[in-house]
Amino acid sequence: MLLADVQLQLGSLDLAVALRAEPGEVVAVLGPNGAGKTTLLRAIAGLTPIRSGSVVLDGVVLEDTATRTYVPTERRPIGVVFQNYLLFPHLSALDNIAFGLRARGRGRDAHVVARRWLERMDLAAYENAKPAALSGGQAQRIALARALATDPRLLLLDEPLAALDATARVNVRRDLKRDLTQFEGIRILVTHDPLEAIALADRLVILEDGRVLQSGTATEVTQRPRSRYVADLVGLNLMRGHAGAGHIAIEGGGTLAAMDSTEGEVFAVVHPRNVALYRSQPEGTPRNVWSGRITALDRQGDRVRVTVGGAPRLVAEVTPAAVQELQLAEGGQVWVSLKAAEVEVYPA
Amino acid sequence: MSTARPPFAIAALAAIAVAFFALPLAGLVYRVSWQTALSDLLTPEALDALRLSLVVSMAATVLGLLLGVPLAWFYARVIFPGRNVVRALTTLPMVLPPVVGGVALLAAFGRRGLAGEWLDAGFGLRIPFTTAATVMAATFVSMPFLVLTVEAGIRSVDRRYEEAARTLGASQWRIFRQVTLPLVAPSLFAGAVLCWARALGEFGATITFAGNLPGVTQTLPLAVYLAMETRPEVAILLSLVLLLVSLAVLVALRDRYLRLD
Repeated sequence: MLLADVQLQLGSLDLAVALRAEPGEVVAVLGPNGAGKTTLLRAIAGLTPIRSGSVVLDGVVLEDTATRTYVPTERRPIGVVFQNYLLFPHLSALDNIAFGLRARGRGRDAHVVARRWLERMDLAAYENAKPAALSGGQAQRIALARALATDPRLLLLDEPLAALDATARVNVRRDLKRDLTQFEGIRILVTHDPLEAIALADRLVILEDGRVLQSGTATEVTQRPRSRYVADLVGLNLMRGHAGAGHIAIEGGGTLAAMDSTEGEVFAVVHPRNVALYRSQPEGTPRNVWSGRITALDRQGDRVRVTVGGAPRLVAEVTPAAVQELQLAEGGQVWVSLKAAEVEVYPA
Repeated sequence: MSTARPPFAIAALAAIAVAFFALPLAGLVYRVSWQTALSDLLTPEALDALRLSLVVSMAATVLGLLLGVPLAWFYARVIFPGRNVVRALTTLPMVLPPVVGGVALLAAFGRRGLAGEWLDAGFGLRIPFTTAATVMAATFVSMPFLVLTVEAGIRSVDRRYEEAARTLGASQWRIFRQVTLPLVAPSLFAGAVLCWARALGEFGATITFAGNLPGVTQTLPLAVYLAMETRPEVAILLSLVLLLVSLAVLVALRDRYLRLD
């Protein structure tokens, strides 16, 4: 278990975060640029000094300002996958993975172990390739193998997909999810991309301006964002389902038409502002039209989040004026319409 | 790039500048007596000077790398009180007249010098007028070039690579050897070549501190100077050798590391 209680100041950032991660858990720290996510990771790894607080991993105190304990980075059982991966450009893929093994005194079998990791990552053919010759996805997997090869208890990933272009991202994310599942320690990843956080993590921690705004499972946070800010960031309709032939059978009832051709287990993501509400059954091009009963109206700033308990259950985001005009009220019946093109689909 | 015709005045002055550098080179080539060139070059004095120059300049480069690279790392990575003063001190030989450097070396390592007296009394070591003194003189004037080049190289290394190495369990010493040094390999190479070229041409500090003993301290530049009085054709030939070596260094570096363009 990781217990991190970190307070520090760095430039204009004032970071004060208490973070707890259970064994086997994947935690995503989600927030905008400048929220302090990377600094938090660096503090846990011992790369950025903390002003006050402590970092305790599996009962071992790595840092505690009260007792002036500080275990230097190189002696912490923590693996880090950096943004842009930071593979050593002068070393081959194999030697990059073997670097940590050698540094930790396993020089004898470093190459053997490193080669096993390459095979595990399906990159055995790239043993002698220099990082510059690898694609973004390959570099990411080498960086992951390099971090995991030394058997860390905790794995930190800083924006693991940010360096990739959009087409590579979907595949790499699927691979990363699989690879992360195989690692049994605690995993903490930092990202500014809500979908990435939802797809990869068991639990989200929303960070803004150095403070935790909310934390919980993806379902909890997306369905019940506790502030306007969280709603904007991650207040999405997130549904699990089974895709086939252009339709997604949503878990818990209902079917959505989507433009995406992905098949199998998927996440369907719909932004609340793309959901339209009507008093009576609309006629038009949207292929998803159904009706349901309003179960909640939450006003947040200049918007109202309307939860419609149909099949599937969905949140729509509308203006207060629209609520008045349509006379929306809890318990009332309403029609929901949604274009197929606005259903984003991701392999689960 | 503009393809317009350049103003006449600028073009004329630039041409004079080129001629100023090109004429001495042409003169040197013109004055070489090619018939006797090979026999002049193969005289024992010339060969001794050539051999000594190569040994001394390479020794100075090795010493420079051994001491100068750690110094460059300190300047680039460690903030310590008086860093600027110390850096100025170790850069001084770049602007100091070499003969002053020679006098200073004598004052330190001469028989009555600050350290020389002690070395002589304690160990019977007398440095002046030995090949060791030649190497010291060359190192004294050439190492600053290496230190400055390598320091700039280390400063430009992305420190996050070093942090990545730390998270993988590497000690500072391992990071220095296996991450930082390979990443600054181009600067190391450029610094070493500059250092070597400067050591090869060293004259003032050498003749003051090490003297002019054929086969022991008489390097090529000293041999050139001496030969001008007795056998100018040998002096011209040896000058041409030095010039070609320097030119080769400049051409080799220009493409890859100096980025003069």
